[in-house]
Amino acid sequence: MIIKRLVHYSFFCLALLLLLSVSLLQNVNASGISEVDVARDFLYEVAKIDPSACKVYWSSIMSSSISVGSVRVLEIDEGVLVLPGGNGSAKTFGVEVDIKAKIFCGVNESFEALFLFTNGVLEWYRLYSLSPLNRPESFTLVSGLKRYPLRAVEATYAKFTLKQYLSRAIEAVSTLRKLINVSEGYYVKLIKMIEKTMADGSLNVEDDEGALTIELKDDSLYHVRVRFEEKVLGVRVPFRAIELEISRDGVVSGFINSISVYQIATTEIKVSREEALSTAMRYIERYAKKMGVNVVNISISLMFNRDYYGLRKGGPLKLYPAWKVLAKFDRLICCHVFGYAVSMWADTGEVFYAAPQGYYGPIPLSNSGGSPAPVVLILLLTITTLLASLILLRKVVRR
Amino acid sequence: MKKVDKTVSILIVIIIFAITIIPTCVYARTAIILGSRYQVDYYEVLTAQSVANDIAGNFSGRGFVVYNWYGASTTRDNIYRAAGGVGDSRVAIFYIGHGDKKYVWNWAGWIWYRELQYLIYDDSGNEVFDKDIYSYSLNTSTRLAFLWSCHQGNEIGGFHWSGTPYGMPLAWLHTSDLSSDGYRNPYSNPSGLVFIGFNGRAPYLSIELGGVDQAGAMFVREFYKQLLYGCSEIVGGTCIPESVRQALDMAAYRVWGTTFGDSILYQGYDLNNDGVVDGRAVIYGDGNVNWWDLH
Repeated sequence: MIIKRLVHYSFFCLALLLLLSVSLLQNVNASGISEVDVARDFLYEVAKIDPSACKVYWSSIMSSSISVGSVRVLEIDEGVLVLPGGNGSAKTFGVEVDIKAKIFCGVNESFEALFLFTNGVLEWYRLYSLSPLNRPESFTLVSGLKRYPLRAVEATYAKFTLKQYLSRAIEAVSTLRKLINVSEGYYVKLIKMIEKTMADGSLNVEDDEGALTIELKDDSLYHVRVRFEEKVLGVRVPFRAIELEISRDGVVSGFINSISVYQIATTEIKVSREEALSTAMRYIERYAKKMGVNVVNISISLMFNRDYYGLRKGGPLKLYPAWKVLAKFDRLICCHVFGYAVSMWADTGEVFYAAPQGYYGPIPLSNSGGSPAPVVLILLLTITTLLASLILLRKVVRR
Repeated sequence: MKKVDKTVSILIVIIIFAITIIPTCVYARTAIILGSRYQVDYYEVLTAQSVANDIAGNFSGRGFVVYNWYGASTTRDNIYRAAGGVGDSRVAIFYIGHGDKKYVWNWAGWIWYRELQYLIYDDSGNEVFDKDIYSYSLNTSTRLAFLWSCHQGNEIGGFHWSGTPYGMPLAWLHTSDLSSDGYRNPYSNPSGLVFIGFNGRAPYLSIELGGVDQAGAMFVREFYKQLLYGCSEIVGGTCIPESVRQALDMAAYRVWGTTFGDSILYQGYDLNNDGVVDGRAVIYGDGNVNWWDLH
């Protein structure tokens, strides 16, 4: 009877679990399944993780909306600050899918791969070592090389020269182009630039359209970094980049594809450099006068700002041109303030940031809460010794 | 008998639904936010106050018991209480304010030694030394200590000739067996402890850094958001939260478009363009800690 009941309950539980799994799978299908396919293909085809050497477990898929909450633009005294809060409601600008995979290679070697998809485009991938043996005391490049697991590829790539690493980068980029929805032109440009560095041996290549930087690091997992940044109006745009990191043994351990996600909203510059400087100086001089300091150095530069707080209509995935003015004072004033900065949109002239520039540092006069000064103790000791000597002397004299 | 069957079935249904509906975290843990406004610029106070509220909100949303002591409540006594874990055994600490290092006299039982100690300030400007914090952190409750203050990450610390402990990482985490780069090589003994601080000067949260205005504020906000909400909505499988170093990477990417390792914060910054690097962020201990470990 008991067995019968147990079987009955087991079937009931199984049925419920089945229902639960089906509902979860439906959710995955709704958002995430295509991303998982891309992530899987990326690991095997681009990163070159060998499925026969390593086991990959897809541990989590998370979907969330890209939204910007309401903000308050505070215009206080001489400055302008943006702070979260206010009465408006949050605005949504797309969907983000985060995918994580655990990778186990050998006995002690484990990794976590983190993928970020934005509006269906692979924006970010990075491999993290989880091996508990990575203690700093025992970690050397040689042991690191042995520990990084992807031995199947290690045989091929372990003795790389820079040229071979760059060939590996080209191979990865070519596979990537086929795999993900990328802006073709930039990837072709990237390949051409890498080929140029291979030909002339330089680590930095720059032209009117972009800049390529190659960096060799003393790091086993992120050994070679290849980063391309697009140039717009002669300015490098950090949020329009393609970046690849390659491990010492040739595995692609990092990838950034912000160029396919962040878009330049406008290249129209309606505010000239002189006009921007003149506007900024009004803020700077007002503050400098109030604080009794002189401005000794002023710099102005054009940048493409990510609209982090969603001040413009386009949302946080759009980049807008902005003038940045930085003034330096002749001396450090209260609270470690050394200068003043003003930023304004170059297409509208609206100032969205104006604030003193400072840092957290030592305070010259503060209330000491530390140990009692030994001077007091030394003084007490001296007085006691003197008194004792006097008493002894008196006794001796009396005798 | 049928009644019993029915009751058991209902119970099973309730349990299964409870497992899927109730958030992963049930046992509340503690987050303490400390902030000294002493000799801090007005614009920075506004920004730091807002960031402190954001951090408190994020921890609170994850079921943590939150003590937001930014401002007047950041007293010397409350800093000591925070070091002791306010009665909890798993605590996350965030401090923002000025910091310093100075030589002080330490008593070795028979002689005075002049030795280097690190200190932070309470809201009234009283100095709070590492050696005193150490004496309160005996029960090793602090799992994640993030001190946005200058010099507090200059070194992990240890014990002077006088036997006096020094160094803020040691003071808060009560161990010096920490990786000197918890971002690239995470390790701590005992495991699951991490310290984030600055070697040199710490920039104001409100300043422009690396071409980004209010970069520090954005970075701290993004860091805690990623750390605590890296898996807010589970679509399939088991949700694994982001570790400290993954959250650092994501936060740096949102602010500067690079990984944390390649960001201006980790590489070092020249605040007033005089050609000298003023400071850089440092991570000591186990960067693989995630908020489950804190919980």
